[in-house]
Amino acid sequence: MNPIIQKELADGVVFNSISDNRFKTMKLLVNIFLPLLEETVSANALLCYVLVRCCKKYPDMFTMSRKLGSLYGAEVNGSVSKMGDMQCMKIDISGLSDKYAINGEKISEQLSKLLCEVLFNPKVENGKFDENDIMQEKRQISDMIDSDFNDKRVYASQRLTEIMCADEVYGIKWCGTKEQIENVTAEQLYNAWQNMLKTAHFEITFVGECNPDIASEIIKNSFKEIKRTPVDLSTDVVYSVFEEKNVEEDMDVAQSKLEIGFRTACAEPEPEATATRLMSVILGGTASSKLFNNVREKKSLCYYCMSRYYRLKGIMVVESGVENANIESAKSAILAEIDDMKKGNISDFEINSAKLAVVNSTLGVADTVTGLANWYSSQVMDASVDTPEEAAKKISAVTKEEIVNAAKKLQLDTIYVLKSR
Amino acid sequence: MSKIKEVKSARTGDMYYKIEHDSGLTIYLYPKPDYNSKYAIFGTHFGSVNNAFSLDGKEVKRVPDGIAHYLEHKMFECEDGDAFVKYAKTGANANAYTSFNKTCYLFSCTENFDESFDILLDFVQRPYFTDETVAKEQGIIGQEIRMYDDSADWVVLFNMLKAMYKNHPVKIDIAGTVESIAKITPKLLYDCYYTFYNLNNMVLCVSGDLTVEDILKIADKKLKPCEKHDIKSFFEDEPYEVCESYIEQKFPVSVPLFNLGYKEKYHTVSCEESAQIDIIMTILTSPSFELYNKLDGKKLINQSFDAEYFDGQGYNAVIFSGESRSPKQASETIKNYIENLKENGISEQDFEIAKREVYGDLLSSLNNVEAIANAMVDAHFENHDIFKLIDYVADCTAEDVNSRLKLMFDADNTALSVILPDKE
Repeated sequence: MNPIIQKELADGVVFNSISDNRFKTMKLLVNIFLPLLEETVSANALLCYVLVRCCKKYPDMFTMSRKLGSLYGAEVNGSVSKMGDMQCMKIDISGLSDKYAINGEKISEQLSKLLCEVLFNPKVENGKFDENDIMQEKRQISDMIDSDFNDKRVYASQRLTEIMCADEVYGIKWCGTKEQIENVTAEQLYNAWQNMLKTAHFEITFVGECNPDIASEIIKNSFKEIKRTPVDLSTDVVYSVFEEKNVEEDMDVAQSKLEIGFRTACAEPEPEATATRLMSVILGGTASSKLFNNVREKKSLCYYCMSRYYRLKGIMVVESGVENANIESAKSAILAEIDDMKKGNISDFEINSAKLAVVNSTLGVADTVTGLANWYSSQVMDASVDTPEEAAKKISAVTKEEIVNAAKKLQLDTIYVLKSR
Repeated sequence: MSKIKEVKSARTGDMYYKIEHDSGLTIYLYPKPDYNSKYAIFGTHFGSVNNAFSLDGKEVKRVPDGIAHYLEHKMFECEDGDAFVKYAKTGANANAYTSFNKTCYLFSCTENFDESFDILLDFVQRPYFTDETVAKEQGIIGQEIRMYDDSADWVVLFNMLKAMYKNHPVKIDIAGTVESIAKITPKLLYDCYYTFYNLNNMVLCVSGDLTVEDILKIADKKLKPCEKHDIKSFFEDEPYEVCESYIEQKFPVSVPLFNLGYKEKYHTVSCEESAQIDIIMTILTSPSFELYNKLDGKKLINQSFDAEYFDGQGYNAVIFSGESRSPKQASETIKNYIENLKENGISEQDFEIAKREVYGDLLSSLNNVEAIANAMVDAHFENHDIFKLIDYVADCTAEDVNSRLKLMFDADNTALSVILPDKE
């Protein structure tokens, strides 16, 4: 892997390129950051999917897809997520490196141009996006929301966030509600597109063996005409819990889901975030973690019991699937493990194995195109942008004292139970 | 001495080593220079469908459903401690899984490969089951089964398999049932182990920045030579026809789901056929072709729409799956379209685009050490070759694909499984 080359193409538009000849494919990834707001969340999310559906040059899904298909199955993808209190729209294009084209086509050049068409030259007429495209993508998003409900593990975890962060923008779903999606108009979508070009923070990353200059030149020129006032990237972190919440809901399911949310009182870009992450991994991030060993293996209470740290928001979530009869014992077993950590009962073995596991997955990031592309863009809100090696060093340097301190800061916020009837 | 063969691919510029190890094990090494990640997967050709078998022509043993998966869980427990705890000292990310046809143990790492590789080869070759350890797993696997009971995707698939198969064990949940796993004993686990975990019935695939010497210095030390035995699995006769053409269940979901299966007569699929099938499946599922656009235009599917060629010991089928507000109409549209396509044939232009999509997809999968080694395990058990598959795709013609298409998709032999919301 070669070092990352970074340049600013316009105010708040950063272009990163990583030249790497190990891969058979290239990827151009555009991360678009906007504040997560009730009023705009649905239009932004819908915009992302309408943009990747087709463009002026390839004006419907069929022609667009066939163009990509003939370029050896290249793909344009859109996805929307939350990063702290920011809404992040990802639009990317990926395809084979030029040297593998059976007929010698210049794939990467065509793909770079195509992604720019998607961003800057969508199918817009008279200040409006196409009604049929909008209708189809509204339907897709609406189905995505419904299918989250189909997967009870996903559903329970979303309910926890909604309840725990009911008074924060972070409680908003990545796309808003079904009703909000349904109500977005063609004009609003156009305004969302204009607003995005003028105010979003763009983090663009190119990975592969191909020439990144074609893409960076077109993007630079396209932004020349636009007067930009980019937004700040920021997140509100809740440092203390006023009142614990307990919510239980019934459903016809075979297995109950237990979700416990904590405030970690520490988030990026605070330097202690690394220790907090490690603390969460020791608790429930691996098959040698406290939760896996004690709640699953020793007590046989569940098949899965794990913890996850949302480092930008300062939240840690523990989740498990249990029998109704075992909900209380699982709950106390989990909380007991946390109390134990606060008391400093963490062995060197637990610390070292968590460090090794995190170092391993961190260094592995450099071995996939997607991993590399996401690695840099996921650090836009961090104190510093590290290479995987630098991040691995920081993890290895965390001390037991720092881990115990991170555990001591944990405050129980919300317990959510999806109970089988 | 072990036999070592180099297999090269001109199209991809890559190569791998195939090692016939003295112990009886076949080892593949796919070098990936300059990668940090290393991945090893050790698999046995023993899955959930192998519930009746004989060794060297002796009596046929019928074992409880779900035993291959149970055995997988119990292999991690060794006399000298848990394999996960051993891996925790190396930092490797370890796991295992059981499918219809195989059980695999794997790890990925960036550092301490030798130590992790040693652990993998060690614990998979050292079974240790006691009444106590076997009993302890009932609770954990019971909860795993419960979790799948709530998975609509899982239930819609197994309902379809139950509608499609009268006798074949592919219709039984991989983990078995709470009742069937209660019958599992250490003795039964040892019987399965000593039948199927023979190195001649297994494969080891490794990918990463590694040399043959790196692999052999540990393999030579750890692999215990195995005598070759004759292992036979038995399946009751399966009629050609599906049992039921339609099955429905209510479930707490908000979008209905469907699986549409075309049952085929059992046959083994060659590597060349597999290339043709991949192209056909692309034409039937990719948005670059008519069927997807037809279904999408009528709002009969969403992005979850997909299909797979589903085959293994004793069964072949094509399964379409997805969420749909009108599952029956979606299924009818798919069936009618395929009937027409069989009659009119796939056009030269469609064929060319589909071929490129498949080709691009296969090449991209060579980016990733895990994808490579996983594909090599499958290829080994199916007598395929990952490089030959790419060549067959590149050299395939529209004529080949059209003749294959004519042999597939009997519209009178399908099963549709639907999951409907429990309340409207």
